Amino acid sequence: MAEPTGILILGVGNLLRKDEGVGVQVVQRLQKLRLPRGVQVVDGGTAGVGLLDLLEGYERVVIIDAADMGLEPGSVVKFRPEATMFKTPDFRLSLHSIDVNSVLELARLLSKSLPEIAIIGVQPKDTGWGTDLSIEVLAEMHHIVDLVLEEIGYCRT
Amino acid sequence: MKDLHLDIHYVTRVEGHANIVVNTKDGTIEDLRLEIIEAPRFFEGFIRGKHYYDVAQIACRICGICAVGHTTASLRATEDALGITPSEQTVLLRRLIVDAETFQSHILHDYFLVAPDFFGVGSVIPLASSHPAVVQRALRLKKLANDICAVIGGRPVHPISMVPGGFTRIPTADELKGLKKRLQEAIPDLEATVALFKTLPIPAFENPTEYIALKSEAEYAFYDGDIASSEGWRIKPQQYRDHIKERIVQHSTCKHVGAVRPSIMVGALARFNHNYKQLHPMAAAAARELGLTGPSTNPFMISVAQLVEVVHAVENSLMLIDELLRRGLKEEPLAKPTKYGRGVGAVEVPRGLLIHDYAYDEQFRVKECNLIIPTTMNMANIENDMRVLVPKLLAAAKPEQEIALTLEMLTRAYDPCISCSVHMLNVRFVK
Repeated sequence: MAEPTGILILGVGNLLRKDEGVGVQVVQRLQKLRLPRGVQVVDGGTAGVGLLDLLEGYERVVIIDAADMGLEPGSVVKFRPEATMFKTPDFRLSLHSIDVNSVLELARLLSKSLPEIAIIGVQPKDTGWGTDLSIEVLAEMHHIVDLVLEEIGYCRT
Repeated sequence: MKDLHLDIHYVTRVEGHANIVVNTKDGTIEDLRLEIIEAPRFFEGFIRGKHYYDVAQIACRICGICAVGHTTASLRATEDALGITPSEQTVLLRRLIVDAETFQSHILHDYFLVAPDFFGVGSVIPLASSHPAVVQRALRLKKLANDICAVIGGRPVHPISMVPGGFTRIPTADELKGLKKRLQEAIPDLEATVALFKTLPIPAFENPTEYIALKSEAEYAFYDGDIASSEGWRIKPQQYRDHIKERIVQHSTCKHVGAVRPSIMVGALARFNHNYKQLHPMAAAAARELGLTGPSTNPFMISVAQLVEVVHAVENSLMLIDELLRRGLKEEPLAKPTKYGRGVGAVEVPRGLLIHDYAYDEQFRVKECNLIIPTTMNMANIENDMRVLVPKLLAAAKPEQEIALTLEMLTRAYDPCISCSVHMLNVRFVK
């Protein structure tokens, strides 16, 4: 099998559920930038278990997703999965609402080799029906994009 | 007879949340409800005013698993409304990606949601520990199906190349040959899946209902057909409102749906019951091997019908690829509108009949729309099944825990898609 290579920036979420779609909204902005070679920007939507396939083949992955971190709406935190405690109810796994952590756990149990992963979590205010981001999250979009670019070592000139 | 008071919050391993509430007194059901928390009711609000070219791109975001289904139904509704006639090549490609989604969704449902019950584990995560080869097989099959979606739809999730009147990008002959090879190589995995599911004990329970599915003389219908009922009526999709009736129920944000009967079933078992004589040979053999004969009135057999449909979808995909290669793939201009008005797209998605109904104005913008998802159509019947099943379980003196699990399994068998979900991470930082 080929050596893993390159960086993946992956935004996940549901565009029709307001702040829940923040990950996808971020990648849609990133897709307008000219990023270095070897950097792929992917809209993962609500891929669910399909996330496993999307992660394959990369050396590093940056995932952007809405996350309930118990913080103020609009809070943005970059973290490594190993450094956190994911509060998923016992074996609460469902086809659509499978979260990134469950996918990573599945990969670990199946001894799949995983890339180095950084997660950028955004605390949502509103995950009701709609395509607009709340003002608290919208105000942080530039910061989130900057965090992603910092993670991949890209300088905005 | 003991009184039963079940209030199961969050049925696990279905999309979103559901509560099952059952209260009995002296063997009589006092209260029984499947409480649904969410439904895609606001879709209509999103697409009103949108130009016809943009509608399907919003529809495809409703659901990650049924993205192809929503896109296809949306496109067909738009094309019906605007007098757009897609080419034969477009129709063949759409049928291929619809088969791929059926394949992908059913495999996921059967392996990840149904099988854990029979292995006595809570979900696929412990199953990955105890039976890794089984889960690896499921993921291999799912990956193949997803890759077909990526080749045809331009993206593994939320297809991007499917537009009114055609495709913005068509696959190459080499890509199709590659998929054909992989489909052929997947047959041993399919056989192993049938062999596994043959050993899983399906609960014995019969409860006849009204089965509704697309019907076509040409084939086991997914992409195109009339809407047919086991009660005998058969109509063009445009007439669905005369026969399929939605009603509001107090305990659910999801409407209930009836036709001749107050509750109906759509989905793999309804399709099988209507169309089993049109299964391809390997699928027909799989049905025999799995003990599924038509028509079946056991809702627990939905999962078995799904597996039969997976085999059929693989056989059908191979036939479609051969046809596309024989014809030769050609770049084609998109077919254009010839009028504006109202149109209906009725398509079989993995969970059942899906209806998109749009009315366009003279600027080709949506002025009205209606959407009925298959899970909405099944809700009343799940309750109907529970009303018949609970007294039987009580009469057999089953313990409360077993009754609760059986009702959860029944709900899961329908493969319901209860919310277009919120799936965000739930994180607490370790100090």
